Amino acid sequence: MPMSRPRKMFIRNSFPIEGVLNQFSSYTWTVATVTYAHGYQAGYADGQRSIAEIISEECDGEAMTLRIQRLKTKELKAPLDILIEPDADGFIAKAPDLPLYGYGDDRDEAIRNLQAEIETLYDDLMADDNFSEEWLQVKTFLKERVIN
Amino acid sequence: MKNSQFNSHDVKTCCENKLDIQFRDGGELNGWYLLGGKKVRRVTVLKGRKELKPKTYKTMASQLGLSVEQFDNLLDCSLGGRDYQSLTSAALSPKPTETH
Repeated sequence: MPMSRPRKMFIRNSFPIEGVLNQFSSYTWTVATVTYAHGYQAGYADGQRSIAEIISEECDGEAMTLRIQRLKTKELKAPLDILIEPDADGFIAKAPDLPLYGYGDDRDEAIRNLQAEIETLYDDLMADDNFSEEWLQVKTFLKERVIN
Repeated sequence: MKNSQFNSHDVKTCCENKLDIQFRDGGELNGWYLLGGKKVRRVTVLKGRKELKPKTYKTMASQLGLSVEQFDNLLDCSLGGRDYQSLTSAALSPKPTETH
């Protein structure tokens, strides 16, 4: 029986593809949706490659958004939007709802560093209430989002 | 933007010496700036002596509540710790309500 080629999907509308993306078992995070800057969503059923590697083929040099559903060790109640942009020869990942960033030589590393940043911030904020009003609002936001 | 003149270690040293930020070693280095005993700004600095890429530099400035120009000045010594305290204090104080 001939080996099937990796399936590639391009879906114009907002269509949940987590069923496909969850097959990336090497990832501690789950991408619920991948949205390109130009409005497409895409996913692969090929579990041999990382999602970021696939994204970089499709979205080279462009800013893009995606959603993470997990942090380094904690899970989120609802997916969190993140933005990944090229930064010189590396990448910077940011969460528009949070004053944080993760830098990496590739998208994978930038995303992982941002996940670690969010988790560290969550731990910091849960430790006490000695923060400015701005940070207390972030605390409330994360309290509602993170499953402890 | 003077990002090419500094590396991540320069930012860390500047934040420690001028702003009394104590960094904690996690995935990257994180530290809080305290104003009146409260944690008001949180900055993340890349470990090591990494080159600062433009967007990362701009984001670090933003984390400290500074424009890129003010961040340049903080790093090249013309903006001191007291100046930063005044800027932060002014930025965080309640704005007067507009009257029509």
